[in-house]
Amino acid sequence: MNEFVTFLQMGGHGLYVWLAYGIAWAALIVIGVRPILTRRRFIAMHRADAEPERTAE
Amino acid sequence: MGRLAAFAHRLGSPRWFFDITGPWLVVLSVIGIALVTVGSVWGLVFAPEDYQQGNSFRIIYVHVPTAHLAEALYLAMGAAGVVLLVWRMKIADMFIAVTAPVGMVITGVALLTGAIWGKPTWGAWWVWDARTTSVLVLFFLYVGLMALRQAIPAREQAGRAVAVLAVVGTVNVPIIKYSVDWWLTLHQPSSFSLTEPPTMPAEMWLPLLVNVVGFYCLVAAVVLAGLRNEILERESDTAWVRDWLARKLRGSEA
Repeated sequence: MNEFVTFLQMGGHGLYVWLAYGIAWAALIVIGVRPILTRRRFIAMHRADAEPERTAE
Repeated sequence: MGRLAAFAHRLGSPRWFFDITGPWLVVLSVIGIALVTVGSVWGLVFAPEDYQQGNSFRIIYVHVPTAHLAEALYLAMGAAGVVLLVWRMKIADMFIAVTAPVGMVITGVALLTGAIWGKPTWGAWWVWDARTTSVLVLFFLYVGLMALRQAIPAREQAGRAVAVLAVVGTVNVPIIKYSVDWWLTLHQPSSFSLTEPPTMPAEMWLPLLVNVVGFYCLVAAVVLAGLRNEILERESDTAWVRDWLARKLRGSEA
């Protein structure tokens, strides 16, 4: 446990290191999730366009 | 030449591009997530402390990949701008539209992580020197590209105006690259060079290399995913997109 706290503190630079990594990871998640949501929204919005083909079966 | 022309012609077909890139997207995402995870843990836990900078040097493992990408993405948009202006290829316009916001976020991360590293290392969050200022200009170029597209309602004119700005803006990239050599700056020179061995020991630069490749894969996946969405939206009234939608909807209900 103590070792883990020492690791988190990064010899006094913990705040800087974790802030930088936090920002970088958060940015990757945001730009990664955005296209997934856009695609879902597109499929949901155009559900009606595909309806006739579906009922024709 | 014949094969290259055929490839370029096929690239002009959004449908063909959409069909072939599905598997690429999966491969790039998986490799990207794996490499960034390995590189980050390696850089945070196993890389040795720097004898001058202590642990704050670990920030380079996220700063260098984003700073590299900030420039590379802009150069790619400049190339796409030339393709659009000369050959009128629609997919080049879509590429610029999709890449600009991604590049803006990545450049923002490079600036923020640089500032966070600068505080304990230089003693200041920000200095107005050649490197930091030219990257700030790059950030505003990305913002400008997005604003310009918003400002012009006609899609084709907007695309061409944005392409011109993308091409002209590339003059900033060599300024960023050589700023550390041309002017007296606080920023250190490149970590990697194609012609010389790294100045860092292997246990420090290997995780950096892993993260650089990982960030490139992830961002490529994000741009590709955006491009595929852009294709679907612009081609939404074509038969092939309707077929694709029908298959998707049937698939999700089965």
